[in-house]
Amino acid sequence: MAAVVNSFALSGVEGYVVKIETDTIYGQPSVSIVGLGDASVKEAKERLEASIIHVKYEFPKMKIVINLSPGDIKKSGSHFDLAMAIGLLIQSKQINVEEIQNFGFIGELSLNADIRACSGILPMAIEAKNKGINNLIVPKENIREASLVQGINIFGFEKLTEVISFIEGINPYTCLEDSKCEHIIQRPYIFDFQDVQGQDAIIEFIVVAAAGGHNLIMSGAPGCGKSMIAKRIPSILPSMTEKEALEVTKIYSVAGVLKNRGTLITERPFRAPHHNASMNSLVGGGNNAMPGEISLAHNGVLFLDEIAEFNKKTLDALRQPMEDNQVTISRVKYTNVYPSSFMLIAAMNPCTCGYYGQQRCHCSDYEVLKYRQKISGPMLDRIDIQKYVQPVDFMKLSDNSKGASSNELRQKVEFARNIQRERYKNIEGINSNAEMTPALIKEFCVLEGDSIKLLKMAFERFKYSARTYHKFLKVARTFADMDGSRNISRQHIAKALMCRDLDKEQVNMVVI
Amino acid sequence: MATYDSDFVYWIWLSQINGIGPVIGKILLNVFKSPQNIYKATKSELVNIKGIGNNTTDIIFSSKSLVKAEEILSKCEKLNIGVLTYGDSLYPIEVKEIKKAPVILYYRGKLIEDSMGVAIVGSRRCSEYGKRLTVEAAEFLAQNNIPVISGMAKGIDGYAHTVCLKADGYTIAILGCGLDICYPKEHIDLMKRIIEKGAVISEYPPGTKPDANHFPMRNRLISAWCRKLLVVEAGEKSGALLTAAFAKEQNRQVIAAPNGIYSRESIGTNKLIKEGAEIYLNPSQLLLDNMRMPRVNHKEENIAPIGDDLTAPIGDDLSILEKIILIKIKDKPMSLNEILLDLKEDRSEVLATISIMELMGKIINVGGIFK
Repeated sequence: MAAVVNSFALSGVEGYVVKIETDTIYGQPSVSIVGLGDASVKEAKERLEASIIHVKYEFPKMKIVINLSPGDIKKSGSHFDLAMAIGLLIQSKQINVEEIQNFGFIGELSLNADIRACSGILPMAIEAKNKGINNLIVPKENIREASLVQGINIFGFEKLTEVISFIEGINPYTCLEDSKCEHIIQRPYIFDFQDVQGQDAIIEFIVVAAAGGHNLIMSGAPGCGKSMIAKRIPSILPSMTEKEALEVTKIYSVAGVLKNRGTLITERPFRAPHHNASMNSLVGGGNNAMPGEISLAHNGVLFLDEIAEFNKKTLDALRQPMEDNQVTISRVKYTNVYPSSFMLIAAMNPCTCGYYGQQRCHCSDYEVLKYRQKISGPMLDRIDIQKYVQPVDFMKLSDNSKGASSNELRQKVEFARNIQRERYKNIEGINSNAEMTPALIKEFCVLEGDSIKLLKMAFERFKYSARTYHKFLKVARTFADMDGSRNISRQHIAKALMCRDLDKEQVNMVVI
Repeated sequence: MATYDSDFVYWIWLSQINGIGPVIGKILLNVFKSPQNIYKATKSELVNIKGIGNNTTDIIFSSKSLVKAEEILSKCEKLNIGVLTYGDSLYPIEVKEIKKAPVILYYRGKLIEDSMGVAIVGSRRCSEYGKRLTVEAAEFLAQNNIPVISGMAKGIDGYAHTVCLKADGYTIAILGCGLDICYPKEHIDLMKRIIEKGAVISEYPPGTKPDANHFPMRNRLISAWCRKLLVVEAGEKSGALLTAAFAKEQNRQVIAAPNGIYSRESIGTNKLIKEGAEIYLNPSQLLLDNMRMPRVNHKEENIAPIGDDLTAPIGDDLSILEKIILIKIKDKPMSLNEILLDLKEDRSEVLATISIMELMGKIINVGGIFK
């Protein structure tokens, strides 16, 4: 009978159990690994042989067949090595383990029988817990990441010999270092809004955007501080819940970009892809359908600097993930679904030369419009707030006290978010004002006569499109929430009317 | 729909002879009355005319082929381009009086009886000041039914046509290339609209590409086609200065918009003023002599035209905060940041007030700076 050992593989950000079956059959000595493994899986046989011989066990001179079940899903990665080695040793009766079905193994072997770190440990550990596999053996370097999952026993080892003596019950496990990770979600942000001076106007609207989950575009001359502001936005978003932190860590684990392996990511991510980014790097894809920037920005901020310079097609590919808060990447044999719920912050120059509105700008109105049309309508449609950022006068800065700190601003944001959480608690899939559907807008954004008059005036003067109407209402709702007000007052609407700077300007443009 | 006379082909033939310019062309026309007669004239008839020598006669006789002219005419028919001959009554007399007025012109759109108007020219890279001035002037002209003549270039020219069309005025664009070509390309929509509501004119047959040599000739035609010429902004070597020089030569009144002496875009216009051009201070200067009753700008009071309130005294119907804001930005436009920093009042109150003021047209926002 073949030996069966548990290991794991990934599909998207979810792990699933892979049963590694090992059999030895009389015949020409050979090793074959079946079960749709890619080259990294197939090459395991060489590592297997070298490391088993290195730890002074015998590599059976028989026909060895290793099957990765389920056999109809493509698998990739070197983390099956450890499970294969254990399976082979059990099958060849060189070691004896009781209740092997309660163990799961993850790890890559070196030729010297060391166990090397792998990516994607966190979702695999979560799956182990879900499937009732109570003992998980992982590379030592990954132990902190794995122990983010509580309720199962995590064992970290450096060498194959240690694993063998442990599972045979010869040596008990000794926990060498403090493997328990910090579960307190602290805020180690280095960027603080206190450093931004003289930009109070835009910060007002940044706070609103953060409070209501609105996407935002900043337009301004080069060097006026757009990027500086954007970098600080994660610091005023509400702290991540443990669930959110786990989601983010899972994605980073799968993408193999988890820094200092094993600590839970507690900072909201901030991703700023360069504008030559390809569609695959942005939405995800590539060889193994890996997560892209939008998933790496999940629960955080995706900052598209110079958004007008992005490839139009690439940008438009973001539309569907922004709508659904997740992205599906399909391959022939499988589809991966990655979450992608992010706040979009974009920045652009107001015109080709970058200095629109200043003396030195000589762009014609046609050129200005042409430049702005590089961002498609449906994309702009998903951005509720458009604001100008003005360069700061350095002489004025020196005599000014510091601006509001991120902490103060975050309190405002959390206050408004709490109101929203309460309001939408019974509505599936809606968490913030920005996500309101037209029906919800009708229900929650009731205006008084005075405010309607104001809104009407704005539409006559600035010739806004009908779509803009809902944006104003949503933003006004957030302004009201920040004041803790049930009703949307005239003042809230007036302030909301200030968040379409680019649209407003088009009325004054002289073009046919 | 343009109609085509049978003798158009001779007109085109005459205009296309290398070495026969508008001056000699007109001498010939004076004698023979029609180009067909010139075509059929004998050598002795031609040589005897004063101002026509042996050389010219040889040139005429060596280019008797009508192939090229027929080609051009069929192209015109295909593209619906009209031919305006020197003998046509729609060809304004004032333009004909110019020595070098071409014997034929090509046009698209509709030509009206009295198409002489006011020309607005200026630099392609204009400033906000130049744009504002052009918008005001062109709007005024359109409201007073005065045709706006310009060259459809980027910048001032384009704004002049656009505003005139938007105000339902009549406008003529004079081009330096064939009428089947849109130069600059970005004005393709503008050109379509001008053809619908006004006319584009060129002395070059269809198929002629824009060329640096063509533009001085076009400028001469622009200055000829107007009674007054407004030069909005012109750099040191701007083509608009050339237009102004032609206008002087042709006895048209040149009006130049003044600007700061350090402004690069206005070195040329300031120089024009120094040399005796009329200084432009308000649109009523653009009215033509035969009509003294300007149609007043009937704009609704609640939506004030851009910037009107800059000069208006600060009214009494404003709240205290509004007054403070207006006083602050009256001398020097400010960004929202600067306003917020300067005022000690409650921030959201200030934001709401500015928003409403902008809505009322009491202040305007250009590139984030409030004026």
